[in-house]
Amino acid sequence: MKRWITTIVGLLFLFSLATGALASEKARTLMAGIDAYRQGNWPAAIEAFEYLAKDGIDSGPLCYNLGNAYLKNDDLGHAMLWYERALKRIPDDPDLRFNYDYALTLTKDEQGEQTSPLLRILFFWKYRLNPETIRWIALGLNAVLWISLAVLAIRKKRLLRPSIVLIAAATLLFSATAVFNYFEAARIRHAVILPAQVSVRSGFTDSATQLFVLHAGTKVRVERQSEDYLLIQYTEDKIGWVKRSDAGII
Amino acid sequence: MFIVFKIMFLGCAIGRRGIIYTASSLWPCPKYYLKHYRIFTIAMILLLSTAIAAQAATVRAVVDRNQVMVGESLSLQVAIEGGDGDVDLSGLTDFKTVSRGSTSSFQMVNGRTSRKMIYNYTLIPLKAGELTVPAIPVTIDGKIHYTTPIRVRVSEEPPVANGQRDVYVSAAVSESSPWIGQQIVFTFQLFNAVQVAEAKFQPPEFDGFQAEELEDRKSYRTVVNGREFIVTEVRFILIPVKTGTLTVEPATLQVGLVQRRRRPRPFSGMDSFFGRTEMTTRVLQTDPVTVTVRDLPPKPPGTVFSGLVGRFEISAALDKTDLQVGDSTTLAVTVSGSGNIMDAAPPAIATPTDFKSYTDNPEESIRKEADGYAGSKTFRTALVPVEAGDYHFDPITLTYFDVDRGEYRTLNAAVFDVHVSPSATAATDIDVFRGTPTRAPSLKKRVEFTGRDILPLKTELDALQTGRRMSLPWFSLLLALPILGFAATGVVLRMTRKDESPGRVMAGRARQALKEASTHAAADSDFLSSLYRALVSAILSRIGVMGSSLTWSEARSRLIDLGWDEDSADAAARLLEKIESFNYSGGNLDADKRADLLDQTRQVVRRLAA
Repeated sequence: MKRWITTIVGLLFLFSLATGALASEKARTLMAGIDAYRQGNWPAAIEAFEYLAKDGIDSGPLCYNLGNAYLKNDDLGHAMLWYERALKRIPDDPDLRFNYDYALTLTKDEQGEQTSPLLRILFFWKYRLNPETIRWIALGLNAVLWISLAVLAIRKKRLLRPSIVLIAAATLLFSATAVFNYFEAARIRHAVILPAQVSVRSGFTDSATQLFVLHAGTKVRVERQSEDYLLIQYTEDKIGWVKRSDAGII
Repeated sequence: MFIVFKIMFLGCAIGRRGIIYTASSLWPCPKYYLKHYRIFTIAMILLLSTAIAAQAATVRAVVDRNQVMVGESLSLQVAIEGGDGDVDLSGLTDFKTVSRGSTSSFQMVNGRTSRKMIYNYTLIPLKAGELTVPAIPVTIDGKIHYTTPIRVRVSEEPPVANGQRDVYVSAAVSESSPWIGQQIVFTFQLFNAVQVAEAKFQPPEFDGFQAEELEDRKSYRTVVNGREFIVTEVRFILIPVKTGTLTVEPATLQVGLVQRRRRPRPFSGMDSFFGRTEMTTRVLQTDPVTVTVRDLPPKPPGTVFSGLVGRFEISAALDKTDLQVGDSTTLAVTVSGSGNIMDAAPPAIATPTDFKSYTDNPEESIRKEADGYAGSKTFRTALVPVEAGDYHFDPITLTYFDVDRGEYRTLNAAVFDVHVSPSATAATDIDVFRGTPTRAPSLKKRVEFTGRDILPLKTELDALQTGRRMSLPWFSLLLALPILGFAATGVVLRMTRKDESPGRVMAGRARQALKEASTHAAADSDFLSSLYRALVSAILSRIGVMGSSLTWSEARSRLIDLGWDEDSADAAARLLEKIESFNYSGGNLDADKRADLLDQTRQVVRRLAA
């Protein structure tokens, strides 16, 4: 028995050493990337940050750093792609908002698909609050609702009833919005044009008719995906195929 | 032998007074010929339709020439015989294609009919070399037909002096090394010695510049190398917004050259009389123009740079210098010159503290001239003195960057001395609000970016922590948890709720009353009341009703209803009567009697509780 305990403790120790070593290696890579960025070596910074991203680190600050490095490297397409990815993870970060707005001023195409102003007014909470906040509000309201219902059942206080109706309505609204956000994230995909200029064509081949031209950093909606091509929608009336390598899915 | 039919109204007959007219034969014919005429007409239609159906469709592509120079165009005709179809030109990647419309014809040759569609295009080669017009797919009735590929040799244009060409373009900027913010003029010129038509101009992107086209396009005649050209100028005002070497990409002009036909045609001598000319499309490009944009030098210490770059003047005028308290006078400061005059901000006016100032909207008069923006901007401020006295206005200054001298220049507007005398109106009547004397006049203005860059990296190690986002199953689970909690609370409440049925309540009362009666210290009246209550409660608990009293007869009948035999019911009823009589008689009870009554009551209660 004693031997078993010693073996398990030893293995745990070795495991902790291994994870510690891995963590410190990642930290070193991050620091190397930051140093390269500070020295103006943007390609090296991109390489370091992308290594971490490919290694499975999925964090908003890392996406932000990649966006910065690509922007400094004059690669607006990739910069916008990583800023968009960062916005999904840290939507309220002020630095990210500032840099994203700045990068937007460098894009050549007008913003394509835009939400109707009426929808933005009617469903203002969806557009003003980020999905994570909406989720937590829905959960909080839901908890308050059921606790109030329990109190009502035990204490039979009629005064509580109007408040509970209001809380129930708000809970329903925020829960439905949260579920819709999940649906939107899972089903509606967006992409960013990567090269300086891309021909959007009517078919899968390079000889297919060029329908219109998009420039780096333009955000489009992905309607369908094939092995090598994406069917993208820029605006309601502008839809066509681009190569997968020409558009990065957010 | 060609017989061309225009098919119209075949078989259509019009009757009038027994004489028949047909559209194809306007001569009247007797009625009995009509039957034969109809048969003939139907037979003709069948013959024609069979002939059309029997003929297989063919497609053919031809160009007007196989050798062109870069910038020249050639004509392509795609002819479809025997039907109509869709022509797909997506494979012509080496050429820019411009559609020139289509024509159709219907022919009958020796009894055989055919329909012919001709689609015309202009092809502009995009590069030099041996290019190929590939096999063009034409879809006719769902079937794809291909034309034969055509080889076209495109040679580089030989270097020819500008004056020897029929048409050429050029581009230049007025200043090749401007300062950032300095306006320069980009001029595109088209020189044509032959007639041109259908010109399509595509200006450059002007990356790194703010660009605006000057609205009036100039056209004049000039002589180059002894040859007269018509020059058409398109000009843009450019303001560099970043420093370094910037390149203005080539401007492109697609233009049709109107020339006499190249190939001799029959009766070509009549061309000049009939004005028969042909148009060839050419694409002309200017050379890229390089501009080196210089950054502004550091501004001298102690100066406030207005942001204006160019050549400017400043002037100031005060409409009255002799005032009474409460009178108003207007100070007009005018900034004029050429450059980014539209960016001129209101100048700082050091108003004495005994003056209240009211600024008006600036008045702009900005024109786009041949060498850029020029004009003036006037800022008016109403000044109202609130105290009598002699006041001195400091000069109003403007620091701008002079592009000719390459240095910052500070200009001063006039100095004013103002005399304010007391008002004839009482000071209290003057409707002027005086500002806090110690506070400087507000010169707030909108803050603009003076430089643009992104914010720095995030250097915290948090960047290595993968953010956890709540998945839909987790969200659903967390949403369901309070509902489960609510359900669990309900179950617990139901399980812990006391049975409050009348039977159980009355049984409890019976037990309680018996317990009270068992207490030795109780007085006789209390003892008897407790016994009575115990008996009544026990009987009523079995019936399952609430109550506090029973007569002996009611007690007896209820016990019999409960299944007791008459003797037992009588005994219990008599016990109840005995307790009641002892209670109302008020006599003393000895201990034995109390014990006997208590014992009997306990037995009845126990039996009823069983």
